[in-house]
Amino acid sequence: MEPKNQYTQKILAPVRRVSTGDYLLWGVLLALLLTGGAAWVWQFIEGLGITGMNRPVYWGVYITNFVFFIGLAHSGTFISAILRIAGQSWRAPLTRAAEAITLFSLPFGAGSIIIDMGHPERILNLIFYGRYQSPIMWDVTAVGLYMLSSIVFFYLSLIPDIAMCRDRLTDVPRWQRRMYEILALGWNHSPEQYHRLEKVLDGMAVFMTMLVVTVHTVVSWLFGMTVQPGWHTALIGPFFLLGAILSGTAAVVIVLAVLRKAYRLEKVLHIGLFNSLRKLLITFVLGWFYMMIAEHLTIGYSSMTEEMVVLTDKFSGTYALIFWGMAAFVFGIPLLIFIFKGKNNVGWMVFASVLINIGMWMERYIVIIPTEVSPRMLHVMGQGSYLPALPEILITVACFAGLILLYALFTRFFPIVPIWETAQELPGHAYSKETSPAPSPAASD
Amino acid sequence: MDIGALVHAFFDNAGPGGVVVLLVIGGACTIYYFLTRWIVTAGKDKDNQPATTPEEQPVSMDA
Repeated sequence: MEPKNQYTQKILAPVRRVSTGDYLLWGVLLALLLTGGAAWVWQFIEGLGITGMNRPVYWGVYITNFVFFIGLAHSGTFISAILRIAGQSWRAPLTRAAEAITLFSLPFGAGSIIIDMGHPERILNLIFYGRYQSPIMWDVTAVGLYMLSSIVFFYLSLIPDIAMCRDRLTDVPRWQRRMYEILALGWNHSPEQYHRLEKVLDGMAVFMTMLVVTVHTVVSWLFGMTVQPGWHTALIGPFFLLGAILSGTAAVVIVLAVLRKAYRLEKVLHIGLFNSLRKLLITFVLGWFYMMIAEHLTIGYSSMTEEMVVLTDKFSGTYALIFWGMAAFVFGIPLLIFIFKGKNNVGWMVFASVLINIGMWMERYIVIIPTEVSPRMLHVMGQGSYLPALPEILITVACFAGLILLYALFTRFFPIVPIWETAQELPGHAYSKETSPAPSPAASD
Repeated sequence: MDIGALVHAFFDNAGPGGVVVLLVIGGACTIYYFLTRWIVTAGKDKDNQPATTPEEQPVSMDA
């Protein structure tokens, strides 16, 4: 017996047909992705010398992208896992949209590291000559496990809906039907299957929450474990983590608004969801600001020579415009919008969320580049300079285009709102007949 | 056995790190495979199992 959901037809509508607009969008995004691919081949042939990176600036926008995309990937786990454990049933309609961001941004995050290596085959050195003393090995372990676990977590909660596509979408092309048949793994909507699925997802939610904290802390330790000015602080872990959850949650707002408009899902992705996310975002923005003050005050108060070079560069030097722009984009403007304009207004929420994500990218840039330009032992290493070169810009654009392309493709072949999780009645479950499902048994415990 | 030397050898030598990564990812793959199988086979196991005791046998419609 299938779960009973009054919105099943509405949710499945985008999966039934692919429009000309879709092909056009896919074409543009694919062209951007291929351009980035060509830039990468160019870089592979010519070497990293064609990028803006030089001695002592060994990390540029590729590592900025790495940290940004990994941060973006925290959205899905936060919405699905942490709110699941907290028993927040309102999160149900937006879980898949959020998890999809995780799934599709992780490859570009991890891929950025490989692009930064210059030669991709060097990744094998980590396996053959891996030394656990190095934070890079911690990173490979944590990000690898996170990527695998995210795929499984996402796929498991998708299986019942794939089975529904298999049973209901009889007018789609043959290859698509076959795809649903294979991916549904013989799911037959038995109560026992749902019971076990809930059990596993509840268990995995705890594990995924642990992983989220681990992954972004370990990402921050790539910087924190070095003795470079601006990086060598114990605060960097929680600061990175909070920033990641902030940018991820803001990304969910953007994605939800686009899906709502493009697929006419106003009733399913109702305004109440945006209002709930608004409250979360206000909390995260304030938390981020607190961390920002804590970190810079600790560094500034000590007045250590090498630290002050980087700090002054950020506050009033070369990077002042990016630094204060970031502060306005992540904290000042969004907070005012959320408090005074955001309630019941999707447009303002999206505007503030876009600003947050631009600001968070700038934040990653401002964490990495000023320190690289003025490293410790400046008299030995020499003052550096950095401006992203054409290949780096093209590859960065390609990464964002790739993320949007994968997302757009996914929404045309799979239901982006979980039908079974938003069902009024599930087989074998005493779910109430209200609009939102009750929290899962384990979560309500 | 010198535990300290063993820990040192693990962190300082090239090689063990790669083994740890493979073990962690490989172990997770195995666990996830069995979890997925456990979920999707639910209900099917019960259907395929023959009833063993008279109590477990389905009630006849004639009774």
